[in-house]
Amino acid sequence: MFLIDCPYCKESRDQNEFSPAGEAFIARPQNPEELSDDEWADYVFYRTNHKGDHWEQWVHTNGCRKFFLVKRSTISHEILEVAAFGEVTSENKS
Amino acid sequence: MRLKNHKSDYIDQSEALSFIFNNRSYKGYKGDTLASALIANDVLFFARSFKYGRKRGLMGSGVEEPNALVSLEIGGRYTPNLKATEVMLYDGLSAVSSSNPNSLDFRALIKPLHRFMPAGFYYKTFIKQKVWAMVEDSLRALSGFSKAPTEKDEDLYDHIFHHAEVLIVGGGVAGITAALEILNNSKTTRVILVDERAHLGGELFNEFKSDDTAISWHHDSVNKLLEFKNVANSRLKLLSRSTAYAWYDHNYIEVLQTNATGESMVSGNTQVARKVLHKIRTKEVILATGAHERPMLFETNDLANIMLSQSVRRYLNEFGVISGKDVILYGNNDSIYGTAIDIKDNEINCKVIDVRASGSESEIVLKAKKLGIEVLQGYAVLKAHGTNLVKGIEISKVEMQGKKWKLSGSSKKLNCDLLASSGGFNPVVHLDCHCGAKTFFDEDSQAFLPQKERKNRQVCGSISAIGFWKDAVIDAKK
Repeated sequence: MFLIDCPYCKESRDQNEFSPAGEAFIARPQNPEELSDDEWADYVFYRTNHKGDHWEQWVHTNGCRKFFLVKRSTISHEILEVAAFGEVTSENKS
Repeated sequence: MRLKNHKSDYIDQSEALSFIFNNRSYKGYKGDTLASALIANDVLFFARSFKYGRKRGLMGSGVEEPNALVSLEIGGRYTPNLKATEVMLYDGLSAVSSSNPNSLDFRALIKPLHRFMPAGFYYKTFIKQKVWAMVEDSLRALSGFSKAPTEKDEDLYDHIFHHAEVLIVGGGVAGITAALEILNNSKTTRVILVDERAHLGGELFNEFKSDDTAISWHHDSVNKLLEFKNVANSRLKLLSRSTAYAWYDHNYIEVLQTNATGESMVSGNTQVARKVLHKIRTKEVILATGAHERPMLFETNDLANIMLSQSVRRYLNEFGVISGKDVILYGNNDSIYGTAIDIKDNEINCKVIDVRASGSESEIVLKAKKLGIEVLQGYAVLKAHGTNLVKGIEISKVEMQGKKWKLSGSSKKLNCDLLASSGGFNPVVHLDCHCGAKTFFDEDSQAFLPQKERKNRQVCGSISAIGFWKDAVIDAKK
C-alpha cells in the first residue's frame, strides 16, 4: 500500500485513492497510417518493464482526478519523485 | 498442577472461572490462558499428530506453540484454529481440541507399517492419483485443523485507521524503553506501542524474584508510560493483546487486537467488538519483537511434556503452574539455569543436563550448583522414553572431536516427567522480512539477525541477540 504525494493536491494520500496509468513518456506516433503492424503493436502493447527507477503515470481517481508523473523504484517501491505533466519530460527526466 | 504457595501478580485467585474443554468442565482463575488453566488441571494432551495419531502436548507458552490448536465456542460464536496458549480464560468458555487426543484413533494401528510409509506418504501417494477426490476429505480431517464454521458469525468486528510518527512492535523491556526515550525527547512525536500479551513487560517478570531492580524498573517504566497515555490529546497509544501481522509498502502495518476477554461483550445496547483491525501508517518502525526459543533435538522429542525451557519458566512464574514433579532441563546455553533455579525455589525436583563441558562456568551456573541442583555437564540426551508422556531419557557423555560431536562412554537412563529444553534463541525477524528485508547469519550468536541498515526501521532488544534485560535497556536508548 503506497503513500503517494499528489503534486496538485499537495498531500500525501493512500494508494487506494489513486489508479496506476502505465509507463510514462510514451508518445502517440504522429503518422499512424504509415506504421507497420509491428511498430503499431510496439506502441500499443510493448513496455520496458524496467527493473530499477522507473517513471510512470498515476491518476488521483478519488481526489482531484488529475494525471501526474511518479518516479518509483520497482525493486523497493520507494517513490523518489512526483511531478505534474510538463515539469518533467522524456528529455529532461532524471 | 497449580502450586499452592505461589504468588503471581498476573493471576487473581479470588476470581474462579469455570470452563469446558473437550466436553469436561474445569476451573481456572482470572489471568490464566486456556493452556495454563489446563496445566493446572493436569490436562496434558491437546492434539494428535497427523500420521500415526500420536498424542501431543504443549511445547510453548505463546505464539510459538505448534500443537495446542483449539476451536472456541459453538454456533454463531464458533472460532476455529486458535492457540490455547493465546486464548485468555473467561467464565463459561468452551473449547474443543482441533484433533481430539481423547477419542479413539485408528492411526496408531498403522504404526507397525511405518517403514513402508516415508515422509510425505499421504500426499505423495494420493495427490497425483485419481483417488485424490475420494480421499481428500478424510485426509483433510486428519490434518489437525478445526472444522470450518457453518453458521453466520454473530460477533461484531471493527477497523480503525491510525497515523503516527513511530510504531514500536513489542512491549518488552526494549519496546518500553524505546517508547519512553522517544516521548521524553520530543514534544510532538506520536507513538504507538503494540504488544501481544495482556501485560507490558515481555519476559522481564522472570527476573522479578532474583532481581529487585527489575521490579522497580518495570513499575516505574510502566507508570511513566501510563502518565503519557492518561492525558488529554495523548501522544501515546498502547495496543495490548495485539499482533502486528503484516507490513506493507511505505510503512503501512496491520495489527489485529483481541479484546480483553476474547469474546464480544454485550451490555444493554452497546456491543464491544470482539476483534479490532488497526491499520497503521507510520514514518518509522522500531522492532523490539524479541526472540523465540528453539528446542534441542533428539530421538522421539515429540512426546508430551517435552517443552521449551522459557515456556516452563513462564508457566511457573506468571501462572504458578507446572506440568511435572520431576523435571530435567536440557540445553546448550545459560538460560536453562534460570529456569532450574525458579523450579528449585518452588521445591520441585530438577536436574540440569548441559551439553557444554565443565570449565568456564558463568555466575548463574555456579549459583545453580550452590543451590544444590544436580548439574551434568558434557552430557547429551539421546532419546526420550515413554508411550505418550515422557517417562525418562537416555543420556550419554559427549565431546567435540574436530567439528563433530562424538559419544564418549556408555549411555544411562534417567527418570523424569517433564523435560524442558533450550537450544538457543531465534530472533523474531518475520515482520521485518515482510517488505523485502534480508537476514544474515551471525556467528557470535548463532542465529539469523535482521539486516543491519534499513530505511525507516530500527531494531532493539533481543531481536538483535541481546540476552540480558539491562543490555536491552541500553540498546533501546540508542
